[in-house]
Amino acid sequence: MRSPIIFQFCTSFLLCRSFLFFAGLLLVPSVLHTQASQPGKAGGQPTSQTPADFTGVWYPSTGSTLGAATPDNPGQQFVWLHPEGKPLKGPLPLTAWGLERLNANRPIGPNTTAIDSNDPDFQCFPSGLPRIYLFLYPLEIIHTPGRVLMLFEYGHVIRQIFTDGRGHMQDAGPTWMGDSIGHWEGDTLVTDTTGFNDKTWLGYGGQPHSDALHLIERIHRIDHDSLMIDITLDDPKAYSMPLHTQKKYILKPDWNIMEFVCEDNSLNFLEYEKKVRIQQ
Amino acid sequence: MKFKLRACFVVAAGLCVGSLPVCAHHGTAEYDNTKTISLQGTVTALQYLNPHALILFTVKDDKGQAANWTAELQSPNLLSRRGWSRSTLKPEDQIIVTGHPVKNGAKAMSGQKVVFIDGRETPYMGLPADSSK
Repeated sequence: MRSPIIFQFCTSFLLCRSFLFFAGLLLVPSVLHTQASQPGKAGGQPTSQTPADFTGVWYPSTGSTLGAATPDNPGQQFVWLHPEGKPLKGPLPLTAWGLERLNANRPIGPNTTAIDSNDPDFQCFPSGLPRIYLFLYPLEIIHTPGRVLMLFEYGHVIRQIFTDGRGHMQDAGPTWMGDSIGHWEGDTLVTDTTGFNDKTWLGYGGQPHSDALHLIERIHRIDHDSLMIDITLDDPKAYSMPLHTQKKYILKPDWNIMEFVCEDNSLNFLEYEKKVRIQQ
Repeated sequence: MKFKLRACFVVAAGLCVGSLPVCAHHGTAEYDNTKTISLQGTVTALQYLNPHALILFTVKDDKGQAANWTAELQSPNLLSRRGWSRSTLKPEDQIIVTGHPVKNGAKAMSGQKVVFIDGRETPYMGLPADSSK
């Protein structure tokens, strides 16, 4: 039976992810207190600790500098390029392993609804990086000494980027969001993330990645109200070459992130999914 | 019963209500986006819960037979930023829901627009106005 399995997943992740999220919040109570009491105060001026300050709530642009958005699917797919920025010709350069994984994935499609898909997102698993950037929910960035925090509204996931000079954890992971370290190059935060599991997808199309995924991001303001994340994905187990894409975010100075518990309506929604499924 | 079917009509593609990314969480495969229907009914409940809000409402057909319908909306988070709340719709409210029906013929649809039969409108359910910047 699928529903009890999904419910068990949902229940366990509800407990686990809520704990992780709020445990993370407890680590920075003073910073969060400042944020909560000054909801309209977006960052923009560098702090004494960092060359730039991305503090604030950011919303993913549904436009795309790379042309990914369509009216039916605004901003919800990445356009992948050669690492030098040239357009890829043809399908993604998957390895044999990557192709096998792609073929095993059942993304939503004309006749496949969520209940018949094995998209981990539909089971309320964390979306992982970089896919979480595709969901049309804001993230809040908080600077604190030695760390930059990303609080993702979608799934209520917290990501810590350590900027205190440490290296990666030894034998990190496997984790859903990876182990992130970062350093500053001018006013650009360069992050380096490893330690992923291979359970998340790169997008709704079922594009796989492996546990060898190595993600480099260059996060910088292109103007006061716009944040650009340049993403380079190196996953030699799944792809025969590094890939590049980017995601733009828009500053929302009057917003706070809200609670989002994917499992909240899981039982009712599961019944709805059964009702509307196409495959019988 | 207070409710009755006032309108149930289908229009061809191209006259749709400007499809919103109602199902950003899980796609739109179950909906026939070439068709748009408007149904009048009485609210049973608004489930204002993630990942998607659901309107449960009852619709009577021409013979007076009542049927239970469900309309799927955006997530409460997205709706709230447009002015919705859990009390935007209350049980017994008389509404007209416009959206795309599901492909399999079940009594379910995407909710693209909701108005009250007295003419009052509910807030627009789309993405933030400047989201494509």
